[in-house]
Formats: sequence, structure tokens, C-alpha cells
Amino acid sequence: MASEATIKEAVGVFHSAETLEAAIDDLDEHGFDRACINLLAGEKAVREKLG
Amino acid sequence: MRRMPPMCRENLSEQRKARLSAGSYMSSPRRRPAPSLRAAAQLGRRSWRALLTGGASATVGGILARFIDVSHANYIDRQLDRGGLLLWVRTTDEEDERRAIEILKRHAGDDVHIHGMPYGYGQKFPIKIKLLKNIQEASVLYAAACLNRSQMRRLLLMSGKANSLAFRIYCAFHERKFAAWRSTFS
Repeated sequence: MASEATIKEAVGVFHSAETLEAAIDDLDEHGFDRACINLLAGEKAVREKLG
Repeated sequence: MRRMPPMCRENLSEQRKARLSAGSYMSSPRRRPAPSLRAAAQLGRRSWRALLTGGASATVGGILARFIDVSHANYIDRQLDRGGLLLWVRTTDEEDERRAIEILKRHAGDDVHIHGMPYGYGQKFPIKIKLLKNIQEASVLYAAACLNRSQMRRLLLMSGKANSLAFRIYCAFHERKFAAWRSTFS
């Protein structure tokens, strides 16, 4: 049944904008579409780490 | 490998924000080249903010817990409380999973793993779209695949009016459409 199917996602936690951006670039170069990439962060982390 | 032209620090910062935001706005089939940097840069700071499922992180797990396993929702909450930037990559098969894991680990990603989200939980636990309190809830639902891209885009564009009467009317008006979309998974 379709309702029992799952969406699989790889998840990783990053602590700096540099490593995050490098990972996204690498995913991009290996054929992962931007539409398949999501970012989740708290507001404080956005202010402090991503400006 | 795509190279970026030399840029001043300020421009680089703006570009970074824009590039990361591109994923939430530009829909394209897998394996298609990424949108140009120029196009992405035009999205600007506001779009970058919109991509993030941010805000009061303590509530994110609470929202997710309505749709996914509670332990995973708690895991997300803990990571956000610690100031982590959670990067999620949707995969289609085992080869995709292997490559994604490898890339995330290569760039010092912590606690890299694969998790599964069930299709159709929007059907199993009906979502009252009109009760969404703010754009953060909408973002969480998008991340959890309860909303599709065009629906989410509309909601993001209205993010400045998330609590307005117009927003509530919009959500109420589209509730039937959202329900129809979710039913395709049943």
C-alpha cells in the first residue's frame, strides 16, 4: 500500500556555514537536486552562524 | 566543478544565503544542472530566511511530533537547541543513500544517518491547514512532505502576513485542495 511506503532522507548536523556550504556544493556536484535538500535551523543559529 | 568568480566578503555572504535558498523555490527534475548562481542570487536575503524552518525551535519538535515518531521529533529539537544546522537530503534508492551519507560525513557532518518518513501520514492524521498558526508550521509540514512545493511557495510568499486575515482565508480556501492532494497517497 502506498500509505506504508516511506520517504528516505539522509540527515547530518553541521556547526558552521563553511562546512554546510561545502556539503551542499558536494551534493550538487554529485547530482542531488536542490529541491531534494532542506535545511532546518533555529533562529539563533541562523543569526550566529549564517549571518 | 563549478567555480565562483572572486567576490568581496559581503557579496559572498549574500551569495551563500541565496544559493542555499534556491532549493526551496526552484523545482527541477533530478539530475538536472542546478540553477545559475545569478538566478539564485536574485532571491536575496528574504528567500534565504524563508528556506529555514526556524524560529522558536522548541516548538518544532512539538509540531513534528503530530506527524512523525516522537523520538525523532525530540532528536530534532535537541539538535536545534544545541545550535545545529540540520541538512536533510531526500534519497531515492540505496545508492543515493550511500552517496549522501558519504558526502555529509566528508564535510564533518555529525550524527549522519538515514531516516524514513511514511507517505500518507497526512491522511492518517488529518491536518487542519487552516489552523496553522504561522509560517514555521507550514515549513515543518513542507519538510515532512505534507505539502508540495507550489503550495509551500505560496505560503512562503505570504510569510509576512502569516497571522493576517488574508493568510487564514487563503489556508481555509485551499484546505480542500490540500486534502485532495494528500489523498493521492492513500
